Amino acid sequence: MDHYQEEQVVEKCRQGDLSAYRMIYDRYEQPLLRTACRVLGQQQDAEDAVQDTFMKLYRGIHGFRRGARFSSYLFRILLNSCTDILRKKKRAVIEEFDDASYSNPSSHEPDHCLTKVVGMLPPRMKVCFTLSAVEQFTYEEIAEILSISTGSVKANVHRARQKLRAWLRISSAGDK
Amino acid sequence: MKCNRFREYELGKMDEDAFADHSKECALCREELALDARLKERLKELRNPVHAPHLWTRIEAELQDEKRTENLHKQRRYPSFRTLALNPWFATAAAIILVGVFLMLFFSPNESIPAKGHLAEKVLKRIESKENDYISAIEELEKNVRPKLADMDFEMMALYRERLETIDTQIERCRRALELNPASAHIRRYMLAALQDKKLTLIQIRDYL
Repeated sequence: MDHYQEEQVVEKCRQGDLSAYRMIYDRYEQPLLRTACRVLGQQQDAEDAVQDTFMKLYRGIHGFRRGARFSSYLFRILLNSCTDILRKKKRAVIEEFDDASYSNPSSHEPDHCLTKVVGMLPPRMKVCFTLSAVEQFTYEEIAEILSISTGSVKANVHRARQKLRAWLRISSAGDK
Repeated sequence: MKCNRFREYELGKMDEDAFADHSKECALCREELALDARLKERLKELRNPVHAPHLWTRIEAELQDEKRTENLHKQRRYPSFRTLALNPWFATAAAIILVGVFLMLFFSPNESIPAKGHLAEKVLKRIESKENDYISAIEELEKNVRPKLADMDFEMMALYRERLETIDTQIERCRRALELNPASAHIRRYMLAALQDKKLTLIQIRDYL
């Protein structure tokens, strides 16, 4: 779905056409689910977050500015839904970097699953890294989604990569 | 030993060519580059598909529910004449006006004058036969639709019940008036209007759920 087609589908969504929501779902199902899974850690919660995202999209589609990036808008809703779920569960929220709230991957014994190690990153770092390295968003788009500066996004992605490289170094040393 | 060039490169503070030249001479940066290449390779793990086969069904059901509720709210916010007529106050006022007009016409002193509203015998028989068919069809519709009232939410059920009662009262009054004056076209028109109103109300109830 190119940008022009996406605009047409969004227009249909504005008119309340449920088949257009299905097209949006087909296009974004996996990126949304994957990101929600990274943030929330559990698939059931991730599914709830995606469902909530679509409901919020339906209710708020008239507030979406024409010409704006739809994917950024959709992921902002998703992360808000994830935050709501985390709040409900009284767990960490995607806020400030907090060293105490996570386990440093490099300080643990090597774990051979990258998914688990990414899951141990601090919330904001994890989101920035996932959106950048996995979902291929640009730094500017991530900044727009999270309402933070591009510099902050770059720094978070860099620190995440640094930690993951450190983990790879330890894990390969452990293998030897 | 420590080298910050890789960090600068990754943050976009150092261009690619300059970093390539530097990394030829710096073992630390070469090691970081090699690790980064391995990390990129491992990132595929994070792109594994997540299987959620029933998710769209859940979303679609909730969206449909939301759409239905939204339509109902729209109707309540901007009431059409028909929904306005479901308002008990409006319906009562309309019924009083209708009965008033009906009584005025019925007891009008001009009644003795051969009214142009009076129907010829032959036409009257045809009308009565069609009217009876129409009434029995509506009764059949009512028989099917009445049980659905119980499935509605309380507020809507009360509104529709009251509306049907008002219409039935109007029809009953028209019937009694027609027994006294069967050839009155005015009364028949009122009765027809009431019957059509009842039909539309029953269709609304049928389509509501």
